[in-house]
Amino acid sequence: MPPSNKIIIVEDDFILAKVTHLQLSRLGYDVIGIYSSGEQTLNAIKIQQPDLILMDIQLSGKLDGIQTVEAIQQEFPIPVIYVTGNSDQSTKLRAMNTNCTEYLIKPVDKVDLELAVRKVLTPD
Amino acid sequence: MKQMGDTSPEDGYKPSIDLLKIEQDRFLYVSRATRDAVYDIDFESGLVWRNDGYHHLFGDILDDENQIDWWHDRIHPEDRQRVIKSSTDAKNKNRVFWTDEYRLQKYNGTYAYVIDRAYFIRNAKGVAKRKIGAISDITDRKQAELELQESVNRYRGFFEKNPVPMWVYDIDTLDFVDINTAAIQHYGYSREDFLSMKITQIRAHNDVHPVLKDLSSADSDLRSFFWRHIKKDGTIIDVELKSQPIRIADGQRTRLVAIYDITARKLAEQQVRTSLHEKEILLKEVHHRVKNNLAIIYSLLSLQADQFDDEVLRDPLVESMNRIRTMSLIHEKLYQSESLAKINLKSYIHDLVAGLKSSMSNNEDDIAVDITADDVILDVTLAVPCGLIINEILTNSIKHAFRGREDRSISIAIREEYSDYHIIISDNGKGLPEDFNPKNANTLGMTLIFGLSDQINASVKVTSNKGTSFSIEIPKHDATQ
Repeated sequence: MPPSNKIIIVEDDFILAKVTHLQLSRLGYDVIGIYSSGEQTLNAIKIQQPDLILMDIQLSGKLDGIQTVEAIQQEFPIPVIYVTGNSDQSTKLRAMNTNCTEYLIKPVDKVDLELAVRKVLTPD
Repeated sequence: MKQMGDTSPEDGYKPSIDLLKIEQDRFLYVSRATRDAVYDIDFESGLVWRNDGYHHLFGDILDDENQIDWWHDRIHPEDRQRVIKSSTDAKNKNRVFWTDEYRLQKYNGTYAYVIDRAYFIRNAKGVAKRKIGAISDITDRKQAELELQESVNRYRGFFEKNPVPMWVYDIDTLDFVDINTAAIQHYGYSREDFLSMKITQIRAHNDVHPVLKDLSSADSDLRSFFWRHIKKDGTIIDVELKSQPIRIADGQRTRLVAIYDITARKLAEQQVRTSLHEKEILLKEVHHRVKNNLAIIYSLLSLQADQFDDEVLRDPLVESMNRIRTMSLIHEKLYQSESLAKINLKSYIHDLVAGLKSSMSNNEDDIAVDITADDVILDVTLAVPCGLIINEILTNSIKHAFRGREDRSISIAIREEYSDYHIIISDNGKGLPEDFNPKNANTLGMTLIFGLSDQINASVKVTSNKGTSFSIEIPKHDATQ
């Protein structure tokens, strides 16, 4: 089992959030919060700082995932993995400019998710 | 000192008999030599003298034509009043010389255009005694003038009455030189407004500099431009101009410009573009949502599959997940494509294979997959069944072909031929069981392969020799229907 790293999931679809939560829990990670908007995430991040954020791009609030990450990274250098349905190049380029670690396209195979998370949280 | 021939009756000089004879002979020969009708009217006696040229123009003299007003009836009715008045005025107002142009009837009944020039000989009190003149037939010249005028009027009409707004401007001063009625009506400026303006004054502010820059090549032949003009009421219109250099009589460098108002056309084009853009966004959103919904179903099945430790129970769920991902990938490719209706099969196959290997194999590197593909572009109606067929064949190979084997390879070849697409998928596995007939096999995988092939009128050939090979030919004609 990996060390109990703290992960936040930002995903506006309940089922996808729940599935990712269960998959990460089974892998031994500690999901400390699930948020559906960028605004909720920015409030939460001030109180509980995770080791990793899994970030969707299309969110329910005014901020999208990339804008939320930009705001977070101004204060907290927290690693980010985007998990999104947006596979177009322009969105991908915007996301890459926010110093993210991975850009996974939905539907994400659990193995791919595990590999991406491990890449960020497992010390070399 | 007077020279011979310099005499004139009105200056009071009294010539000798010899000189008079010389003068008379000269007059006689000159009047014979000319083709003009020379006449001498004596107002006191009422007698009229005519030379031979008269006969040339008017034939024999009739009895009633020996009166001093003989020519009045021969003047064209439209000219008669004017000509008689001008002649009478000249006679009564003490003028020496009179001339006029008018139409005079010839002996054959037709009218000749003539120029009539005459001198009045007056007594010491200024009373006209005689009128001596010559009538020249100028019909040919007049006809040429009329034809020229008619031609000018005709071409003027082409410009003036042309339904297309047109104008002529001076290349050097940029002044409007001429404007037709259609331009006046279309722009709302009067002719005087136009003639007091330069062509830059009807340009939208931002266009003035480019216009001036463009005028540097103003001498070139037929050209076409797209600009914006301002009407008198301030309305800005989009126009297409076609212009041609023309040189007018005094050498002024000008261009003739025809103006086509394309405002409505541009607006319609913009509306079509906007509408198309909106539909593209909508279609993109549909693909995105379909893909997201498939991702949710995939995730739900994934959760359910995780609840089973037994492969027999879990595998059908994993296979269903792969079918869903196969379709989801189509929508992802469509979402990324420019047309939103076609995908690149080569790129799709690469992603499909990567996903399948990841989900079905514990070690992604243990199966070598070689893909050789032409750049085949498939319509969405063909892409989904095609993707599912390939998914099923690959699933079968990964799942069944390599049990107990270390050397594991799959080759995928896609070729675009003249009338069909040819897909060959082969593995180096153990081959099909001898008693296995793929077409009649009661498995979901084979049912999908043959059922979907029937749907797109594709033929499937399966060979089992040192592995298994599926050869699928998909006719293009049916693919595009």
